[in-house]
Amino acid sequence: MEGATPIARTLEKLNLKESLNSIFTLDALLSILKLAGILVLGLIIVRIAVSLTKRLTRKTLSPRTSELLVKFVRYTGFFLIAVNLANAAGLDLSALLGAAGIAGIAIGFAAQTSISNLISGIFLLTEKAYAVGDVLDVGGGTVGVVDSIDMLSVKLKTFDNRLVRIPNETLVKSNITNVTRYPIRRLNINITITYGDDIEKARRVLMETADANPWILRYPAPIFIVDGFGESGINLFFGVWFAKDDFVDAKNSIHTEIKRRFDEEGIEFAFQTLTVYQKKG
Amino acid sequence: MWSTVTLSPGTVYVIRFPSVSIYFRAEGVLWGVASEFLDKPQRPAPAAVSRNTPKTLDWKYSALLGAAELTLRPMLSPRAYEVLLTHAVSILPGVELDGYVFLPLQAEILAAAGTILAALPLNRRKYSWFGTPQEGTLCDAAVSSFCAAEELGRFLAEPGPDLAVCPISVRNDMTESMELSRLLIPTDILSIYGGAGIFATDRVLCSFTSDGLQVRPKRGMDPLLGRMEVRHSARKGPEERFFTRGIDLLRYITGI
Repeated sequence: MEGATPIARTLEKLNLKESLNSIFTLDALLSILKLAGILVLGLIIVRIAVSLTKRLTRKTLSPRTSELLVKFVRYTGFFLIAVNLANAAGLDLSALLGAAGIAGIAIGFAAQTSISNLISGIFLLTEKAYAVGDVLDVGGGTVGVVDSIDMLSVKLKTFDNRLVRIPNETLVKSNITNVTRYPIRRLNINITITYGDDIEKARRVLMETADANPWILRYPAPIFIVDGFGESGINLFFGVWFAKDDFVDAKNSIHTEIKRRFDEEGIEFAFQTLTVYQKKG
Repeated sequence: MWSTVTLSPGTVYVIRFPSVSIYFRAEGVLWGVASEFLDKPQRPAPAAVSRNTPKTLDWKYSALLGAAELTLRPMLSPRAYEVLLTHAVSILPGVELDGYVFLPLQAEILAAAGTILAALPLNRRKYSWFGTPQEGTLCDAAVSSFCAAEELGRFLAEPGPDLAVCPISVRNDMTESMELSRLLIPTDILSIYGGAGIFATDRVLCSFTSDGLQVRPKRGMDPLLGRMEVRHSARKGPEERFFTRGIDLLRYITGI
């Protein structure tokens, strides 16, 4: 002891050798290995899950939605790894989870609208009612092309070049019409002809007009219905089908051609009329 | 009229098909192509200098340096055809019917180096739809008679330069007889063959089953049409079709 160096003397005083021996036991080594195993295995599983999510969602979902899902999978994976590590290390998570629960309630009250939008967004994603590029009519008022689907809202680009942000919660509560969901659409044309006109002739002219129009599909065949006798004339319904991308061409050309052919054939469009009888005397 | 045209600068040339006139002009490095549909059918004529060029033509120009020739090549529409038969045919269960239908051609215009300048339809375009309103195929509408082998000679005596003969076999694999009034013919699986002023495609095998319609090509010319050369190869080869079917099957199984 007399001949020992100052460092050895200090170690002796601290009883460090025994302390180190007590720390580096076989059990402790096994625990460390277990933690390392959970970490490595967890990271590998997360990586595989992220990769699979990317692959599966790449073609079926929009890039933004896919990225959102990938992030969700990644962070959920990290969270589960952390919980497992804490569990394996013998940490008591109940207090932490309790605190997290209280914090969650507080945050929930504060961010009620945002969370509602977030959850609504998840429901809307699972419904697959629309995708980026679709034309939506929301609540019968706002019409536009879906520009982006985000966590809290959907952004529509209207045809007069405005950007409308619609919260996901509003979308869940509203009637949404996806105008371009199907590849073909029907254009409904309501026409009123005068009582002096021949219905059969009007029918023939309408069918010929549709047949000659390149934008109007041959099949499904146009539909013609005599809709009833109106106050001013005979109400006709004429429905023609077109490819959704040809909307403008089809609509403009068929209306123009119907007007031209009716003028040529002497078929009159009925106006709102009121017959007044004057009582004599 | 399906030929190579050598153009002189500043001159307008015209090729006449029954329903359309195709115009060409070369102005320096610019090559112009225009077409005009006609209300009444006209007599077809090969390339000639145009004396009365319509003023209302909508010219489409391409820039090509040093090119002097344009080649017209027949091609099928990039879309499938929906062929409406002039007379519906009733086919009993288990019966296979062989015949011919006529498909409208398009003109592919190529520059000397093989560059595609334009593809012009030779008939007024009309679209149709094959399938349900929710799912199906957007097609070019065509009208044709279903012609038996014995009648083919009469049709080929005066072949239209804007039509291709499509040999077809229709099999009814259902338990009930069926009324055949219209057909879907995918064009990407068919090659065009030509010879003696006639164009023909591969034979199309259509089988109607309880699951729907299956269409596949049978490579090579029909023996009735004689020896012809390939004028336009099918856009989709057997390997690609096999791959597409594999992917479709995988999607069907996984539901993705």
